[in-house]
Amino acid sequence: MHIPDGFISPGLSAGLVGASAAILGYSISRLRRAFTSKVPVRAMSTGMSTVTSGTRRVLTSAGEITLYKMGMVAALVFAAQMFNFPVDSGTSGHLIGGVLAAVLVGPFAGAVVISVVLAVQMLFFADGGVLALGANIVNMALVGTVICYYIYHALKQKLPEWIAIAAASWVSVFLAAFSCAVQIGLSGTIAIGAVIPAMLKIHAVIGVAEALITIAFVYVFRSLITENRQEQQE
Amino acid sequence: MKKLMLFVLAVTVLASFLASSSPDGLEMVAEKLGFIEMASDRASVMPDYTVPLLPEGGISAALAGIAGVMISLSVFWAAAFWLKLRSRTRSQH
Repeated sequence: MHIPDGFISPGLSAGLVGASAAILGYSISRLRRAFTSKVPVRAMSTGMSTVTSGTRRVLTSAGEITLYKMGMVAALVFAAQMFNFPVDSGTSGHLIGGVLAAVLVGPFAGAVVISVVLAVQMLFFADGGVLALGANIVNMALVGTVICYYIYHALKQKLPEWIAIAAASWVSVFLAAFSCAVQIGLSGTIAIGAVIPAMLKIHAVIGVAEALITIAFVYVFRSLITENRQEQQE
Repeated sequence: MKKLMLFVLAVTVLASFLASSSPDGLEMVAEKLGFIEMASDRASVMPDYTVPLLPEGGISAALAGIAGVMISLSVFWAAAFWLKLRSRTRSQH
């Protein structure tokens, strides 16, 4: 559900660009804290003793590994989003991958991964509008990734993980479609009362595929990553 | 990560040959409700996930897809490389 330019009014688009910048800024600052550790900086040497003043942040090896992993998740999400499957006569759907990314690398890293994929699609493939990138990031990286991660997290406490993944994935498509429809309706492009039910109806079906693909890809990704770790230890 | 990369490339190539070319959920709704013509088309390097100059089809889509996969991957790997380099060089002072 990549919104092209023209569906959303310039004013709302600009507001959503601001919102997406705030989401990304917050996510990146969280990752920066998680991926780096503070080390003292030797500022000056006075005679025989060195005076340490201040600290600086250095990338930890765990942070480095997570960045490599985020790259693999971004690659997988990009590939999976190309796979349009038929859902109804004359209609197709494809994975959003927000819950997939959040389950594999966490909600904020997941939001950055989805945003990067959306930006690459917009820049190189004309998929999704330039001004609409803010709306697409809000719908898929905030609503479809961060918010649905917490649904997954809450359900996981009581239910088997695959059920939590399935439910959160389905909800992610439904909520992202709702958010997208509200933005289009508020822009005056089409009556909000017409676009919301139409979007929800088709995406309720697409969400089922999102759930199935997400479960499968989470297990494939985890098994291929662990296999890799064992290889390295040998 | 080699096996994972092979899996991602397999998904890309399969998608290139098997993906449905029907409009997606949003496009279908826009067509049905009659606001699809409000979408502005624009030029791009690889429009519609195809490589220009190549005949349309699976191979063109696969090459465009592999390019997209590599660009997405390298954003993060470049970030890791750059941060590592920065961490190392400054600590030698």
